[in-house]
Amino acid sequence: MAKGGLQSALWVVGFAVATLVVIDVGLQRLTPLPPPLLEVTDGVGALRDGDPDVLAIGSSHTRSFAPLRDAIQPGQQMVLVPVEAGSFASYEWVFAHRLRPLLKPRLRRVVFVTTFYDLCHKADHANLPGRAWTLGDFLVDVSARGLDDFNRNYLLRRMNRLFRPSVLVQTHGTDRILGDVKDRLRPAAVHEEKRLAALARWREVIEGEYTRCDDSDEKAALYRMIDDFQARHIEVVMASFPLMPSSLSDKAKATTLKRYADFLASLGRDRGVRIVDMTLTAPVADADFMDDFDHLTLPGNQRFSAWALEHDLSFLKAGP
Amino acid sequence: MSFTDVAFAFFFPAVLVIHWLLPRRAWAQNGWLLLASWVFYASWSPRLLWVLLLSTAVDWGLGLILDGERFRPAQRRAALGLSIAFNVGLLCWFKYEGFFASSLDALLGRMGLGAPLPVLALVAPIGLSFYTFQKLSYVIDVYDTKIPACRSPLTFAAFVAFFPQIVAGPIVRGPELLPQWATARRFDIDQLARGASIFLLGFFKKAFVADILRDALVDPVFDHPAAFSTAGHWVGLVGYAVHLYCDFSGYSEMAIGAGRMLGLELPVNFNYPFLSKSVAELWRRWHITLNTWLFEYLYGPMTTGRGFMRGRLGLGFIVVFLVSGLWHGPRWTYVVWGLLHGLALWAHFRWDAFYRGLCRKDRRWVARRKTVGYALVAWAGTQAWFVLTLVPFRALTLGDAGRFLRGLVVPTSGLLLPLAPAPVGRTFIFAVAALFLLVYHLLELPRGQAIRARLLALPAPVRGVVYGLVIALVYLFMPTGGSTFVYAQF
Repeated sequence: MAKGGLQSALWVVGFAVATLVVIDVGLQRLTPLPPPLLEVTDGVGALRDGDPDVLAIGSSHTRSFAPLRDAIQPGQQMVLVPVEAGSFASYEWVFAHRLRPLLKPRLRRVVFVTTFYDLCHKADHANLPGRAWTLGDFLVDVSARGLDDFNRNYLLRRMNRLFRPSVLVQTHGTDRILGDVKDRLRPAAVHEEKRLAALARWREVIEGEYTRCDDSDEKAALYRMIDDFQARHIEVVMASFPLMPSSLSDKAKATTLKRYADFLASLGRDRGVRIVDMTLTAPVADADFMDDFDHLTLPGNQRFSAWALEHDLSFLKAGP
Repeated sequence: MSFTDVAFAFFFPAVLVIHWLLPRRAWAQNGWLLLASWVFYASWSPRLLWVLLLSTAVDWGLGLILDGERFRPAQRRAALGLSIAFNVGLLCWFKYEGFFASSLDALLGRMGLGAPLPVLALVAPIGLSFYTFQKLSYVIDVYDTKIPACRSPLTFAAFVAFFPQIVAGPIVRGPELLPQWATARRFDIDQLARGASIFLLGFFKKAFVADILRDALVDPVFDHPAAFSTAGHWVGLVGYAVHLYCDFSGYSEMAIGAGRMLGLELPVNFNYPFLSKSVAELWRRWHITLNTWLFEYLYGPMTTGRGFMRGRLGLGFIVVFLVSGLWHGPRWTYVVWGLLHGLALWAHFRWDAFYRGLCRKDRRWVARRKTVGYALVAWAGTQAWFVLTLVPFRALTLGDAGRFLRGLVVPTSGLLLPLAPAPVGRTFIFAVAALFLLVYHLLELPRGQAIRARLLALPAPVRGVVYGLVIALVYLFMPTGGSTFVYAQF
């Protein structure tokens, strides 16, 4: 091995890495990375290591229950399992493959943090490989059908976790950095105009979901989970999450939301599930929501949690 | 898994590190690379791995017969025939069964004859065309006693399945690679560094130029040509030429770079084809290993043999390029593309003979051929021809090709550039891609080579900074997902 060659190679690699670090740090000033989000893996870890009384499972909205979890402890333990972009069928997969083997006798209550979106038909469950799979799940899938766009999500997520501090890796393929640069250069009036246009599109999406969000497979998945929990004498709670007021048109309220509210009511009536419908009743305003019109901001969530714990979800404090 | 796939970012470093940590024995290194290659191959199509394994075993066994002194010439000829029939049969079965059956069906239908023929719609194993040609060259070379048969099944299997080149070449021949497999490779940091820089160049071409051009320009224009103006058609077509070049040459460079990092030298597959000044030169610069194969194993024997084709050099070009067209895929558009290039080579062959006649009569014609004007006209003509023939190459049907060609010549209104999907910073991306291609080619010209040598000899820290900037640029702009290579489908 040539010593000069090794030295030169080390210099090249060292300066290449240093350049990347400098660029990454510079870009982080421009587009700071959000703090790491709670994922299925964290929930599974908490369930394995702890002995919870309450298990909360649902889509990304489940993360908003963190203040509630903190408020009811140390009297009770609560574990959150947020399945990003999930629906009942993917919660069932997570429950069957990751949670059920870890359930302990102390568990007395399961809270599904839900919206109408949980009944939307999703054939592929593309969220699962990245959010909920283990290496074993990945290898089984690849050996059956080869590497494809579906199971590749597992590797992309692993790569993201491996380079968690890097904004280049975390935002790769999202146009986020360049979009942020554009946004900064854009006048406020244009920004507001774009926001209103996006809100109008979001409103139409919710109205349009009426045709899609009544899926029998999703319902069946929920029923199976309810049956499983109830067979273990675990109380099931359906807690519907509040939605941004201006994102909900009258049409959406009369169609998409009405049907989902009716579905929840039928669960309460026919299956003995405790229903907490906060979709329209929680005292949240547009300003409490993020730019995606779907998730609460940190202050908004604190206000919502404080209210919920005193009102609709006050039973959580008391224990089962 | 492709080279730009996130899976490769996990796979290749592991293969590389373990390969160089193993004892320096050929069997250990070959065994590890064979295992890695089969895993790599199975990641594309696990259910079709058996095709690779079976065909490897068959040709290894037949190779021993071809080389055996105790076998009579007739037996050796029979073994060669069996290998060719097996390999071509496998290729035809998986790749062309549907094409031939549906074409024959259409013909019989027009003549009012026969019932519909069964079309099986088989899925062809990935890389089948590439490793079939590689194994065919091996058995022919062994039969011609150019190389001895490979006695070790491990070495032969590794030679056939070597993961950097199995999916889309370069098509390697026995004499080039088998001797390298037969001996243990020694770790060489300079080789590793050179391999990494070639890999990075290919990665940039593929991930930055080719993929972004495909998404932002080429696919929108070719998928909806009616929405684009005449100029928009031309922009899309030239964009496709650049995309195809960067996609395939990028792949080849990544294969060569990965091979070199593992201590194995693969042949060059592209040599600045956009600098070609004749069709003949173009095919000596574009997909070099396929064309070398076709001329060595098809054109040569065909035009020097005893049959009808003996001495018919011009017709030989047409036959070779018809085969080349069909090799690319079972579509009439590829046949037309091959025919066009065969005719172009024949025309160039005749023109060359005519021009040499002029030169013999009057030496001023020799000087004229060396002028800048002649070179410019020859270059422009060659490139225009190449780009135009990409219309049938890209089109799915001859009808699509015809419509696109009409859009190139009949003035129509419409878009110049696609509206969506437009990546953020599209102008910047296009400018960087164009600048890169310009500088890349200028540095290959006689005056540029000295500058390139100076650039490559820049101090290590400067090169490190440049590599860092390139990686950051690629990471910022390249699309996510498992992008495949155009030639992986051939």
